[in-house]
Formats: sequence, C-alpha cells, structure tokens
Amino acid sequence: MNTRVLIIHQSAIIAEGLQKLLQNSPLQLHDHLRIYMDPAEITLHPATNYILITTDLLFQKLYNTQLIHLNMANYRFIRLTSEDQTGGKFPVSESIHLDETQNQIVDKIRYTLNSFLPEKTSVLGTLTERETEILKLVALGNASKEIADRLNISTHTVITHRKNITEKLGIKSISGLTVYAILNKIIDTNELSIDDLI
Amino acid sequence: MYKLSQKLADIIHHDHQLLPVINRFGVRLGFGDQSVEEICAAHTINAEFFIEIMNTYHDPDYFPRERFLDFPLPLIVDYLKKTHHYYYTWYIPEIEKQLNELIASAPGESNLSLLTKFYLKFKQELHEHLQYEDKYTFPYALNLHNLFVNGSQEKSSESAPVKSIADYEEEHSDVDSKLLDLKNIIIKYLQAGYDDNKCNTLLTTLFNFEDDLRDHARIEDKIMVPKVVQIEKLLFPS
Repeated sequence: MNTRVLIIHQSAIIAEGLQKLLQNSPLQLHDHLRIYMDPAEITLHPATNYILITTDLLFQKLYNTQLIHLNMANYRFIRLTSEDQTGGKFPVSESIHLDETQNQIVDKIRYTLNSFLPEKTSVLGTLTERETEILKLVALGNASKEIADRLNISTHTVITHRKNITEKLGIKSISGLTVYAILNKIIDTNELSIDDLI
Repeated sequence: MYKLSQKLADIIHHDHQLLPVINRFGVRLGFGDQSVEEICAAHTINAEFFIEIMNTYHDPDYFPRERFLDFPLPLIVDYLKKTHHYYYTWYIPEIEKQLNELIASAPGESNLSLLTKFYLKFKQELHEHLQYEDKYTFPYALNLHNLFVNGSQEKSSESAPVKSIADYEEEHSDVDSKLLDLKNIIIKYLQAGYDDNKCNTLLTTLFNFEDDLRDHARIEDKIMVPKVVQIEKLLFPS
C-alpha cells in the first residue's frame, strides 16, 4: 500500500520549510511528499496510508470533511506545535516542535512510516481449516446462503469468514478466489472444467 | 502544483505519467519551450480545465471538487470519452499483448492460463461498463445539458436513465478490485517459470492502468454524476 506524507499548514514558511527539510533527508519521499495550505484541497483515498503533519485545528478541519474515522488505521497524525502540548481529541503519533533539528524530525517521520508496515506473523496469509472449506465452496460457485445451509451455520458467519479470507489473501472477487483455490490445489481441476469456474 | 505559466516540457520531465493525459487533449510532443497557456491557446483547449486535470492526475490527493463542478458538462464528458478511447485502443490491447508474451515465455506452465482466464473476465466486465457509459450515460448527460442550456432536445432514441451514484461507485469498485486481485495473484501466489522482465513489464502496466482508472472513476463519480443529478433536479423538480 502506498504511503503519503502530507504537510498541511497555512504558513508557507512552515509548510515549505518542512518540505525542504524532508526532501533533503535520506527518507526518499519524492512524490509521496506534498504540501497543502488548505485541507479543503485534499481528497484522501481509502487504499492509501497517510502521515498528516499538521496542527490540531487543521487536522480537525480535515477530519470533519473526510470522515477519517472510518479507518483510523490508515492515518498517522503528527502534530505541529510550538509549545508542550499533550492530550487533544485525536491520537497523536508524534509531535514536532519548531525548534527541533532535522535529524530529530527525520527520525520521527521514519519511525511513523515504519509503523504502517504489517509484521509478518504466521497467522496472516494462512487460512484456517474452516476458512479453506468455505473458500472451496465459494470457488465452486456457491452463494453464502448455500454455504450456510451446507455447513449448518448462519449466513452471517459465512460472510464474516469470507471477509477474513479476502483480508488474509488480498483477493476479493470470486473468480480471483477461484484462481487462488486452483493454484493451491484446494479444488481439483481434473474433475471440473476451469472454464466453468472462472 | 503545476501552473499555466510553466513550460509543458518541464512538467513532462517532472512527471512523465502525464504523457497520455496531454495526448487526450490532442497535444503532441515537439512543443519546444511553450508554456501550458500558450499550448492550450494554440489548440483551443480550455487551459484552466487542462491544468486542473493535469494536477489531479499528478497528485492523487489533489481534487478541487468545487472548481471542477464549475466546468461545463460537455467539457468533462469529452475528456471522459477520450479516456475511454485510450483504454480501448491502447491499454487493454497492450495488457493483453504483455500477458501473451509472459505466457509465451513459459511454455507448458498450465497455471499461467488461469491468469488469461481471469484477465478475460476482468476485460469483459470493464468493456461492459465502458460501453454502457458510451452508449447511454454520456449521451444522456449531454442531452440533458443541451436541454438545460438551449431548451431544445436533440432527437435521441436510446437514452437510458443514468445509474444511481451508488451503482456507479459500486461498478467502479468491482473493476478496481478485480485489477487488484490480478496484481495480487501475480505478486503473491503465482509461481511459474516465466521470464521475470516480461512479468515486471506487465505488472508495471497494471499499476499504471490502475492509477489511470482511479483518476477516471473519481471524475465520473464526484463530478459528472453530481452535475447530472443537479441538472435533473433543476429541469424536473419533483
């Protein structure tokens, strides 16, 4: 997933100064770094991670227009402040003070960037037995209701399983899941024609 | 953010992904040191619209909705149509060509034929969506605009009503997620003895196509559809 660093501040000196400072750092942000004077010019995308370097007030303004709360996991708020400030309405990843050195600031951004990377755990990407069973039925063309009836569970439970399968595999469409199932020999293509499945 | 006074050559050096965008406006290379404003004047292009399209394409987070809503509907529809044309004549055949080359690089790998099948499914869905818009949505939008501006309606036989915004966004996200699936299947799950460079070429094209589609869908969902709904409300207050 892409990560973008947005500096949002009404003062050109601060916004452009901070931009320069980060551009001249080893962070290699290139095109992923942008500055804005006004939060109204920004459209945030659901499939992108954002580090928002801004003040409480402008973050609030952005939050009001963009429904950030729908998925806070994609956002990191780095607070720009001139005083010691704690608390506030929004969770703050880091604070940057006006008198900090380039190294201090760069370290904070680097740390925040890394906080987006998912850690490799054995659970991620591996389906449980039940999920594999459901994936097989999905790939064979069954609707959630049919799967629920077959396995004697509620449709709601099937939908939850399907959501988890999609999240683990990174595949959403039924034909995509079918391709995965064939590649991993979850369904046997000797008995079935691939053309009927995908 | 790019400005009208900047040289187009400098802008292209800065972001070469904009090349197909300038082509859609009929601008071709070899423009020397002319500024965006000069080039637009020479081609009778609405310069403000041109630069806003360039900027939103360049920066996925920049989307001046209010400004776009001020542009006339025919201008927006014309750009969307040209984008469709570009998909039909370039992107879709190109992806297919690269996919075929990838498959040819690994004879006997039956798993790769799965990719082709999945791709054809995606292509069919995309085609249906684009064709529906070309056949119904765009003519309907233009017709509505003419009716509103001139009070006259050109004879049009087959204008079906525009789909609801929710339907629209859903179709866009279906196409989007299939493309993402295709990328993930290649990146994460497909292990085959194919040519790495051919695979990288295909993936790069898919990434670029995804960005282009996203920008395109955003203009349709957030600009064209709201404008159509707005005119509908003015013309047919219920």
